[in-house]
Amino acid sequence: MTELTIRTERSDAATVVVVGGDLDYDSHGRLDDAVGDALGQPTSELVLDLEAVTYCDSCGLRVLIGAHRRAEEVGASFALRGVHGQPARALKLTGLDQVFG
Amino acid sequence: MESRFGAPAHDVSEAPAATITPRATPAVPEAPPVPGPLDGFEEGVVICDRAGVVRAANPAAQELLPHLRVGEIIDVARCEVLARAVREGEPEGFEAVVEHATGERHVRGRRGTAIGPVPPLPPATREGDRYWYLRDVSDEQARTDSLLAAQERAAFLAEAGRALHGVLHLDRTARRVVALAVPRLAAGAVLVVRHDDTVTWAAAELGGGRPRIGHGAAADLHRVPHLAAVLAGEGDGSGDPRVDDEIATLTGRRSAPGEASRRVCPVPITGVVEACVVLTDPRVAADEVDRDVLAAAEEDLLSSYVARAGTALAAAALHEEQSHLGTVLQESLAAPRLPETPGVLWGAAYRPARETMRVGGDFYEVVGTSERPAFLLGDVCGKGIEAAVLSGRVRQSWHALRLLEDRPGHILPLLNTALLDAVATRDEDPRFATMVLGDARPADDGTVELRLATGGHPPPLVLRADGEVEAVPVAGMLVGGIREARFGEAEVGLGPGDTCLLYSDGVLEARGSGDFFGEERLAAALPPCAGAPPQVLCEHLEQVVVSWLDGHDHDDVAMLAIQAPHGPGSPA
Repeated sequence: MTELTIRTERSDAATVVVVGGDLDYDSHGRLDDAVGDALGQPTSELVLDLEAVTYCDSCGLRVLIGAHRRAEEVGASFALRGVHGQPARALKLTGLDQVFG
Repeated sequence: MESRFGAPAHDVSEAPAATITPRATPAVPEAPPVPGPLDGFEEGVVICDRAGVVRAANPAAQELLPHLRVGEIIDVARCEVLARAVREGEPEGFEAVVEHATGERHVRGRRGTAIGPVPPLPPATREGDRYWYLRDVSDEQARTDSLLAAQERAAFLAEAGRALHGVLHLDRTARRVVALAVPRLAAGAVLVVRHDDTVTWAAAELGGGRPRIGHGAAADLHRVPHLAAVLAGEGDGSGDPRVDDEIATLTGRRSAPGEASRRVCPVPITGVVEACVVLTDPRVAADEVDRDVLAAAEEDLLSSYVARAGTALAAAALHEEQSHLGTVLQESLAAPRLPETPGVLWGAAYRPARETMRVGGDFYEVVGTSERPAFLLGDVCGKGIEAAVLSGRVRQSWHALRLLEDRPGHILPLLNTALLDAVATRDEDPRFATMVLGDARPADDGTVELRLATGGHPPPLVLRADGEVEAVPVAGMLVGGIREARFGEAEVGLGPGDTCLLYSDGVLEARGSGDFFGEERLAAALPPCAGAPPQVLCEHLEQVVVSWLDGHDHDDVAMLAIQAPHGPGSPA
């Protein structure tokens, strides 16, 4: 099990939330909070960088869906970046890869 | 004759040796000076003549100014501001830093009021005379006492906090609540707690050993109407002798003689439990509080203690409720019995994620009442009560929907909409599930036709009777997450001895010392089970996964195997 790490980087173009470690039942709430904070300030694009995410369970997927929905609500575009390994398989299995583009 | 206070007490002219030493030997006096009246002063006293020669200095002054010498000029004390003050009469007060071997010392000085001749020496000291130095310390003492008392109260509350924190067991919490009260708050304490339909009491008394505890039915509270009223938040039973009788009725023992004073403290209502503490011979009676500062502080202590007890009791009761709820949910939801259906064999395995929580997010169902037995295996996000509620919703929706629509590929979109609608009214993020569902139609030739539909779930595997393994090429999006979701469907034919395995992603994502179990290991584990009964297959796979985990934590694991029975001529 790898500790979840979250770092938010803001620029004029986008807000990037860089996530690492295990995104699961125990840790997903923290990412949910970070997304809430990220969208608390105006931004035109929300990017979740999942390059360093080692594991994503259904709770993690729920946070991604929620982030997508909340970004749309504030008129920001939404994208995932660097998805690979088990999280990529989970997104493909659930068809969310088509939703997030 | 001149007289001096302080050491030495000798007259200079008569006994020069010890103090008025020649300049050549300004060392420590050789003989201990005879004590004078100034010696007991905590404040350093230095007496100088007009020329600046030190006439007397008490030990406190010498301790502050180690270079000071009686009989020498003040300058040798190495405190310039004092030397100036002595000669010039000002400043009248000063602060100075004096070098000591052990570091700097800050010295504050003030000019004494006695100007003029040094007072005469008191009558010669006689054997047995003693000096007494008196000081008014009333304020200091009051401050110390109240500080100590406050510290003691804080320590008691901290101890109460530690003793009650995280006990999460109602009986144990109740025992600790009364044990803490005696003797600090009172000579005896009885706690009465109503939780749902049970009344728990605990009693402790001075020298009474381990607190006693007992239970009764809430329905019997009518036997103790005054206590019941206090529990319900109506009125205070303090001083009411009937409360004594009722305590005796409840606990079966009169814990104190009739004349003992009694204090009833309702525990703040927490919404989960109702409780009160009855104290015998309390430290503070309710009518004392307004009269006395100390009594008021004790009263604060009592309220804090009672509030802490309330929080701990509520947490314990809530925890017991939840674990009971968890057990009930687990029993009703977790592992349904598999039906016996003509022409189709079933097997299943289920292993919830955390033994302590007992309610996981995986579920399966098989309904064998129609010609086409229907099945469902899925996984909801989350764990515990939340997951149980959602999987219950999914299962109930499925049970209802399949009566109206038997095509698996049509059930999933309906289920998707139903789940989304269920959360839409609550303004929460979608709670989704992934699942495979379908039905099985046994044919007369011993084969079984499966219709499958899947939403966001790992594709089922088929283990042929000859050991070949195929993945069913079917995929779809998760159910209840997105309105425009699309789902895949497939048909699978099972020959005699062929088995179709549905499994949750807890199987693939079982993580041992590093890697995930994964699809390849799962597929590789199947062939040895070719032809085995489906229940045996599931139990075998469960063991393989558990060995892979090697003691590590895991998500829920669920499996459901569907098999076409071996034909009459095939090996069983």
